[in-house]
Amino acid sequence: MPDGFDQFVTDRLDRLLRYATAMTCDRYLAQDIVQEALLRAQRRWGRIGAMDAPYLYVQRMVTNEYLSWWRRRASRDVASPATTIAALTPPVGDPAVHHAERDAMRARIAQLPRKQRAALVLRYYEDRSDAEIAEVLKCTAGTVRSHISRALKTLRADNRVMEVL
Amino acid sequence: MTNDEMLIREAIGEEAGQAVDPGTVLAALHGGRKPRRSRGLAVAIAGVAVTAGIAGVMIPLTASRGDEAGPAAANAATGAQGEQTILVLGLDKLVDEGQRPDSIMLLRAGADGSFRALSVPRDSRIDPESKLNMAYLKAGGGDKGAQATAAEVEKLTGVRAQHYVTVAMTDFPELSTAVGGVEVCLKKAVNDQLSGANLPAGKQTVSGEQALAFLRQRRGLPNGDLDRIARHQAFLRGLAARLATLEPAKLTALVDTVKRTVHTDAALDVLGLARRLTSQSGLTAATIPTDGSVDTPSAGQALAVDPVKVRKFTTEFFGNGPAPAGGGAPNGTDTRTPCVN
Repeated sequence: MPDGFDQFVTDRLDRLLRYATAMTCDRYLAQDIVQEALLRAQRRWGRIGAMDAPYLYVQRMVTNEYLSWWRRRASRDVASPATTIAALTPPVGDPAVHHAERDAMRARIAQLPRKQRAALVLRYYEDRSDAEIAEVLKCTAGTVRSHISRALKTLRADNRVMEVL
Repeated sequence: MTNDEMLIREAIGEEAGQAVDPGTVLAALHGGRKPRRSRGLAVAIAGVAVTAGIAGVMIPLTASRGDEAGPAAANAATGAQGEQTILVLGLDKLVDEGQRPDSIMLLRAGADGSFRALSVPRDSRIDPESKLNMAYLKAGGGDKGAQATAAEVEKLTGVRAQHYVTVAMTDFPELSTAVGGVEVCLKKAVNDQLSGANLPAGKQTVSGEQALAFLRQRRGLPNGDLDRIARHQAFLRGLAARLATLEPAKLTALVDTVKRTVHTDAALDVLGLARRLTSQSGLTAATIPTDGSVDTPSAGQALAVDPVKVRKFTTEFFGNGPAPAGGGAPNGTDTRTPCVN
């Protein structure tokens, strides 16, 4: 019989990787931090596995790993050429419009401050409540709402700029 | 739900869909190891100006080609600004503690699209007790480390970098293979077990593990780290030449690697840089003059440097003339593949 940790990994690894990838906008960094968090969780599985919501806890480990990784690094990624091209190229041509808009949105999300992006991903990808997001980000529900409303404001403001261009 | 929110959902979903295959992570977990990081450690000894070059050369090239291809080409001319100087740090390890820059370069992007790289050896003595590469860690690494290093480099060369880029070498063999190899030239054949470098004399194209070995080898070379710097520069020039002739599709394929290894300060306008650098941009590289090894009380062997000489050299080098005499390993733009140690 597989132990609890193996079962957890089987059930949740894919979702964790997707979450981390959406949060970091970097699949390899996501791989690193998920791997790191799971290795640490494995050593303490006796305690984590007994919790009410082990997934939420591990998700918090993954998120912390990213936020603290950032603190130790230079302040942002170079805009990738994909981002660059999306920013340079206004959407043209009918069937391509929606796709281009989505790519441009992806590029704008990638530029958000990390906590705002983490909050956004928890809300719109993981469908978490304010209280749950607050628990993952270790802040109050009020701060969560403020992160999300700021992020939305930025994304909308950018939208207008794009339209003018 | 608003249209914006739907678009956000889709965009995040699309991003999430880029996740790596869980199988690769499973394998690592069952092995009880962290292969990506440990490979980073092994590979990173190469440190290297190379990714520096990628930061400086490839991203602009890629972006400028996208630019030409897209409807925004008309904007290209508006990117012209004054010259920019960027401090490039090649870090020897990944995030884990003890990270130090192995390769330190001032990179100047001229307003005319020219490109000059000045290497400052990591062992340069900055005070009786310390070497240049100690400043990064002492300041706590990250942004602060980069800024502290920039301040020391300014003291030494008189040139203030407006921006910095840090790179950690993680996927170097794949990268050199992905560009189809890089042309370099060796004066003598080498066979060094430590780095695994086993290369003939003369012009050759290196890729994968041999490219890495070419960049890592320090033992068995008369000038140790200085010779290694010469190799970094030679490789960088070969890489720039290769990238300039690579088809856009192949360049795009490299984006992932670059994105995960290169980090910059928030103010660096990569796009602006991209608009003025083109595939015609030349690259000239040199190393500051040094005055031999000296012992330090606590930091081992360091390289003595004379700030007066260094400043004079730096001024001439960035003055857009040919690389001045007196520095280590000047690599002019005229010879396509200058032979190194």
